[in-house]
Amino acid sequence: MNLKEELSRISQAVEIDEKKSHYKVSVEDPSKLIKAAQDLKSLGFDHVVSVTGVDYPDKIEVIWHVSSYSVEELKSINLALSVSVKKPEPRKEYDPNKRALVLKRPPVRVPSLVSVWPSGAFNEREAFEMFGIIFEGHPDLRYLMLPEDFYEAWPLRKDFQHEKMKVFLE
Amino acid sequence: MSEKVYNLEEAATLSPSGEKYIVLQIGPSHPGSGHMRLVVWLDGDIIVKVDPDIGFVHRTSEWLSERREWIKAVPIVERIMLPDTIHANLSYVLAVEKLLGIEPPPRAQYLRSLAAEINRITSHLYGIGIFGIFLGSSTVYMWAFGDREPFLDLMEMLTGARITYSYIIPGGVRWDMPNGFKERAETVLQYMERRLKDYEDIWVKNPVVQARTINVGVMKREDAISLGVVGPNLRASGVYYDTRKHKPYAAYKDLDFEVPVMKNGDAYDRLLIRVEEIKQSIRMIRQILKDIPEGKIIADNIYNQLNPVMKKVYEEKRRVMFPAYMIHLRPPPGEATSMVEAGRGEIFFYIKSTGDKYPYRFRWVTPSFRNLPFFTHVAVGHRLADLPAIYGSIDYFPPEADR
Repeated sequence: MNLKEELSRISQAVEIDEKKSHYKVSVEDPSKLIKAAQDLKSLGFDHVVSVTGVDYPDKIEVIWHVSSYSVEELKSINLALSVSVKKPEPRKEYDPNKRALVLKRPPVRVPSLVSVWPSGAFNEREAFEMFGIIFEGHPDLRYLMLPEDFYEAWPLRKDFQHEKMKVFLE
Repeated sequence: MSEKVYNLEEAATLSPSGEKYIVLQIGPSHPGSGHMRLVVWLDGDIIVKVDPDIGFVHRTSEWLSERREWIKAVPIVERIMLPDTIHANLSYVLAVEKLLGIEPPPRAQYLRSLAAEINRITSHLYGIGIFGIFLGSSTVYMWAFGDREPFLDLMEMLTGARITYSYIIPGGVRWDMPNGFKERAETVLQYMERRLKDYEDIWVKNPVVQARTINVGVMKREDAISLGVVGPNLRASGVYYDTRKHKPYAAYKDLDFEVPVMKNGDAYDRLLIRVEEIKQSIRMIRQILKDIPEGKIIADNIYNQLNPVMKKVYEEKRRVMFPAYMIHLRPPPGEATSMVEAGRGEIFFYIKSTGDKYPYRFRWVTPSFRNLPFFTHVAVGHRLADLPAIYGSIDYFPPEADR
């Protein structure tokens, strides 16, 4: 199978660097994500290794790293399926507990791929709590590791600030 | 295994306060579960649903590493995976090397594989020991932890530390093999081979162990693939996949070894496969000690950065002192991934650099985190008394899953 040909049928933006084992498929429109994932699965990429976000000043890139256990020639390949979503503007809201205006950073929304790859379920929960990515259609999108006082804190975003952070660091 | 098997859709609709089912909280204060909590819904003593609640030992390794110099991430990732630190170290360094575009010399590659295989044996012995105490055999627990010691001593001889080695740096390794290492290693390997027979007598072929593990916690092949479990647990379900074979790194291209694969995917197979992998590791260590090439242990780019005093130390003691420029390491912009087969399974790194002195994005996934579906999918339908056998057999390590 010619992987490059097959992948370019899924999306126009394909990066392949065999020497560095870098394979990346970028989907522009989040609504086409599930179709792309189903195509990749029918190629033989059958499990998710990692789901993560990358925070940029204006957007969040969500990356699924997938690989194969069942197709012999794909076992050496680790493919990234990426989609970028624009971040909504942060806004100030009144917080009754603190009795003050606080800066809220609204979450972004992408479709969940758990229906295609069940192996991504825990990974997507982690990306949700760390980056504020709501995976629409995830059967059980709850906080996984963070305690309750990190509610909507999205700690792996670059603009994360926490009241206790200075105490911890110094 | 019970006749009555509940499907997950039915179990997911239950509420935690439902009167019909008993909700049992196992953990998080280490009652044998490790620092995690398993919320178990029970019908009589049949498990209906398990919700693993992890994160009690979440140490924010990704957050910390994104706010430190590149090389300072090595001790952080090591302390997450204490029983096999060398693999965490190795996989991170492989990703950084891909960004930097440097390739270590052959001797360093062999030394990396040597350290990794010794570490794999200690990791498997740790897993077997914990499995033993879960099934109530403190003998095999003491034995396994005692038999780790000779291997830890070997690692101390090689790297200068027992657990947290920080042995592998971009471009090579920090210490060469000391004099007398080969003879010492051969003694230890022969000792371990003798001990493996004892393990078979008292533990692997023990009828009590077989009664508690055969046909318990069966992970079918198709489920193992779709749920994405890793490592020995995956191979116990009959999937032929090993990162060392399929995505080779270090010296594994040159080494001759087999990947043991089982059929049934039950707890007993997951025990057997760890014993088989110890045998394969012993075989690989012998090959490495025989075939290891002479030469440098650090890539030329790094060697040229050493000052005259450091070069003198390197020539006399075969030890790489840390070049000061390591702290100012700024890999060129780009992204890199790396995968390594650790004792418990596959470690994955995704690192993004913007050419800054800190990593822009530092993402890693550990094997225990990917083995979590064992709780949610495999334990359902068993009796509560089988839960320790399932838990122990997958060699789950909470601090590693929480990162």
